[in-house]
Amino acid sequence: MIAFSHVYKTFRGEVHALRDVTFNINKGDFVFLTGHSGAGKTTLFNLLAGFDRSTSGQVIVANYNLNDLKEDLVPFFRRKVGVVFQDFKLLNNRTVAENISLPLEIVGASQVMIHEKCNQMLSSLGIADKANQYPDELSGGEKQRVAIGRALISQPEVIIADEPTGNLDPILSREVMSVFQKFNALGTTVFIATHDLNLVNDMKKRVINLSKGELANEASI
Amino acid sequence: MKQAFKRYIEFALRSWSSEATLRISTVVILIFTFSVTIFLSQSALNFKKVMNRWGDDTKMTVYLAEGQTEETRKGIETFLSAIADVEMIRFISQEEAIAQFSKKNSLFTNEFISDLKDQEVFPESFEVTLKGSIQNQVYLKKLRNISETISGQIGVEEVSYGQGWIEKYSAFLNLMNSLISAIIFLFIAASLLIISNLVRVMVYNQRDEIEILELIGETKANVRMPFVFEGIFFSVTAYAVGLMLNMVIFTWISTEFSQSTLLNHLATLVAQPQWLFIVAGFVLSASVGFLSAYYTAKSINTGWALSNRTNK
Repeated sequence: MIAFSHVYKTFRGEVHALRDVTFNINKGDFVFLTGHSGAGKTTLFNLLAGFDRSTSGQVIVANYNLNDLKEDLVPFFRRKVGVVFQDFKLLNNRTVAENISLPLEIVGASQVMIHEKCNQMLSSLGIADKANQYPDELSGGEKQRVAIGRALISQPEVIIADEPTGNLDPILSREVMSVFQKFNALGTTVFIATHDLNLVNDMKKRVINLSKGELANEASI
Repeated sequence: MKQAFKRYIEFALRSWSSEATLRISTVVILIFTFSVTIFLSQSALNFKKVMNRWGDDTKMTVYLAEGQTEETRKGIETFLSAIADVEMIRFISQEEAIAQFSKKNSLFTNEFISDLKDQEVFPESFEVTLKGSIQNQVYLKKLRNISETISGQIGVEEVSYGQGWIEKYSAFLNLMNSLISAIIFLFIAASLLIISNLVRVMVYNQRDEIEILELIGETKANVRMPFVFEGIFFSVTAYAVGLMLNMVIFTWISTEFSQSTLLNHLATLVAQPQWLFIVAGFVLSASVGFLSAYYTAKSINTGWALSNRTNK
């Protein structure tokens, strides 16, 4: 489902954010990406989600070779991958329901289908009563649920999350993780970048560890 | 398209309050720009009609050399008739020329006119009416060529078509056309920049939203669409308002002319914009709005907005 092969990412001024990173993730896996601040987690996340391109090496996600991906196909790749951001990236001028429905609107789904799927998602995330509220009126945990809902509503093959619990307290963090587990159990591949080692230890899943842009070690807990 | 239009309406309603001042000021400036452009274009058309009426009576006088036989005269007449651009030929005898001169110059004494007759100042001639009217340098060149061809004929003394007057008249028409075209071009360029500026500000104001839409898989074309609709909408609206203002102005001018004793013969020449002009204007204004908005949005909305911003 995800394959990194000898991936390098170099920014201006010869800053090597990633060096020779190689790993594979199979369909239905639940994987954590860990590392200290500046280890290259966000860079790897951006490559994985198709928000940036590697300097060299090969990145394959959901059967798309991202190095050779033509500009016109990038949006179609992004529709295949659900992404959750640390800062949520919700549209503050749209309601919770409208934010969650956005990916379906983009693909031109009918209003009936959007309404139905959105209601299902709101219920499964436990925020059905917040449907008509705006992001500014929600707590951090609720915002993260909305972001997860938006990432999952179009039933992507892979869900990638960058520090999804970075702004949450331990209790909310566990709630959010339980949502990921729920969808992973349904067959969605989950890849989460985090520096919360307690959470990683609790979850007992496969861990990929980055250090100074290189793959430090890999472990299945 | 339906979905894109729906999105534009939603986008316009959502962003209206935050950008109302910018939108209102833009549309006011555009209305002014389009009004002036329409006024100048229609005035140029009306002016051209007036000038063409004055230039309709282009005539050439072919003066014959002294003592020509009837046969030579017939030969010249046949030659003139064969020229494609000649509409009518009329022979003017010496007597008729004197009579015309006397009629036009009644202040001269009979003795003076009799002296001119004795000195044979008035030669026989052909008055040649030409097809078309003086509208451009091509026509002027044609006149020169015809004049040169006729001058080479045996029995022809001189060919006159009011060279000095016609050349000045033609140069004036060309100058007016060039000047008005330049002003219209400048105003259209200004409209492009005004719309471009509006779209640029709006795109920057919506940058976060654009980035998010791109991140979750919206195509570049669909991200751009609301801005393109906005550009077309503003441009066409400004043109429609400008057109209505001009219709009022031209009606007023025409009424004023018809009530004036000096200018009433020009009243019928002060026309309102015609259908072709109106339709062409709508197409042009929509094109201006589309091109300006599309290329401005395109330069910003690359599909990699977030990575471009964060990685620089």
